[in-house]
Parts: sequence; structure tokens; C-alpha cells
Amino acid sequence: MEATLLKESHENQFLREGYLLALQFAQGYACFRILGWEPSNVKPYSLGAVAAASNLAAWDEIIDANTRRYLMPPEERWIYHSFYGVNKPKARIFFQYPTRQDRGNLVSVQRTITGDVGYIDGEMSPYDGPFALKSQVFTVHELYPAFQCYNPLGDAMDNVMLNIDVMRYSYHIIKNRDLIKDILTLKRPGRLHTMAGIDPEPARIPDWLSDLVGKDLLAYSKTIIEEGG
Amino acid sequence: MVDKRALNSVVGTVDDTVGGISFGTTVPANMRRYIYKLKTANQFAGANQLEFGHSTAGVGTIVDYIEHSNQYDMWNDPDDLSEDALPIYILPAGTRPWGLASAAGDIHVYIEYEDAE
Repeated sequence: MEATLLKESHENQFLREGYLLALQFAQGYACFRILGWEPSNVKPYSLGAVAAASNLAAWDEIIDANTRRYLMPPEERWIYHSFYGVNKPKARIFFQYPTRQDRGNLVSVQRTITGDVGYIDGEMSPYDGPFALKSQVFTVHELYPAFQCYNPLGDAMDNVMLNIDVMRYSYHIIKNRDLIKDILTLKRPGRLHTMAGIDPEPARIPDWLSDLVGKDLLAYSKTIIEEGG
Repeated sequence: MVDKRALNSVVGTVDDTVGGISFGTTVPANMRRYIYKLKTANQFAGANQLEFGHSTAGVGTIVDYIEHSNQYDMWNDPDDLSEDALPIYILPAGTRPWGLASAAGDIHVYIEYEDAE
């Protein structure tokens, strides 16, 4: 008997106009109301050939021919929300976010990029979808991830590719303390998301966004989380 | 189920060399090689039996016998590879595809396969 695992489409995870979003940075939460959205994608994004039992020569920041990063909003007024699928099925995609910060560790030492820990391959997140929920990436201006690939097979992979589905949001920063409290205590439906991971801490908020949100509100959000509501 | 994105192919040429001939890459640790297609072609001017299987350190293990009665006989299994096909041969981790011909002439062996857990 064959068991079939049905995955929900990642498209159901995209936010819509009016949705509330709280992004957790190391310094606290930044809360947003989504004003508008616009779909985009990068398909295929070629990471290149990967020799048998080898990695890419360098981490790839998902760039165009002029080294502009596809996954980093070029302007402060946008948030990007992305998911990705992988081709080949056995290509192991390792992830740094922000760059030089390894994600996906399990034990007290950082995972390697040739091991069996902390990657997404094309079986977990197929190139044609549905993409794995753990491929989800939120990015803001000046904050972007990097990708590495390991080929565990005895045969070379001629071309490892990503299919990246991106939703671009415009937003309004929420400064109302009561609303922030309701979002963070789940009294208002909203999406809470940890930026990049938790080990050793979420990504640090870019200075421009910290200035817009305000250090007092970031501290207030931490107080809400610690003291509840 | 065949995953077209995972398929690899290799062709080897085997003859009656004592001990047989290994070809292709080694199946990675913790994986098996699922062979979905096998095509052979006998170049010898006469009957030529192929012992097909896998090898470890050059020592062959027979998985199947494929008969060729005449020169240029071909064995093509399956004729059409369907999307829901099951593998026709499975090679264990650490081994390579391997073959040995009964006559002093070449047999070309082509396989399509996927390495997976």
C-alpha cells in the first residue's frame, strides 16, 4: 500500500491586503500592515554544476548578471516573502541568513555543508512544488540570505537550479501599542515570523528599519512577549 | 515512481574479461541504485550471454542473465518507460554496475537509474 503525503500549497502562505505581520528580530518585533502585494518569481535560478560529492565553490546570494540580489528588496518600502523548490531531487541546499550565519544546526557545533543535517533538497521541496514551508524566507532591505549546494551522489549534477516564488509586499509600520500587543499575544489574527532563525538569535534589524520602528517600540514588543497580555 | 529530474544514465562495454567489467559510478552510502531501464546490444558475431549485476572491489554479483542469439541483437527493457514504473534492478550501496559476456566480443550496456535512499 502506498502512502501519499499531501502538502498544502505554499501559495496559501502568502499574505493579502490588510493582513498583519510581525517580524521578530534580535532587538524585538517590527509590526506591519500589508497594504498591497505583487507576485514575482525567479525560474530557473541556476546555481551551476556541482561535481560528485562536492559543493559549490562559493555561497550564492541569488544575484542577477549585475550582482543585484533577487531576494533583497532594493528599496526600504518593500518586504519580500519567498519560497523555493530545488532541482535536482538530491541536491542539498544549505542556507545562511544573514550571510555568514549558518542556519539549520542541530548539535552544539555548526552543521557542515557536506553532511546529513540542516538542508533542503529537491525531494523535500520539489522544483515544481509544492514548496516546503521551511523554504520560507522573509527579507527586507539590507537583509538577504546565501545558499550553498552539496551533491551527495557519485554522479556530477550538470546544473542545480532553484525555482523561487516571490511575493513583494508594500506595508505600513504599526505604532499603536494596543494593536502591537494584540498581534503579539495572538488576540488579533496576524502572522508572526522569526527572521532567519533562533540560533544564536534572530537576524539583527537593519538600522533604517530600527529607526523607522523606533527603539522604544522594539523594546516594548519584547516586554509584551516576556510579560504576556 | 520515476522522477525524470533524478535520472542519470551510463553506458558500459563489457566482454569476456575474467572477473567481468565494472562501469559507471559507485552507489553512495545509505542509498540504492534503482535501475529503471536496461538496453543492451551484442557486437559479437554469434550468441553472447550477458551476466548483469553489481560489483564490489571488482568482484561481481550476478543479478540477471540476458541472452543474445545473434550479432546486433538488442535487449530493451522496458520498451516504454512509464511514469509509474517500478525499478527493474536494484544495486546496493558501495557497488557499481557490472557485466560479463560469455563470448569474446563486446556487449554495450546502457542503463537509466536513480540513486536514492
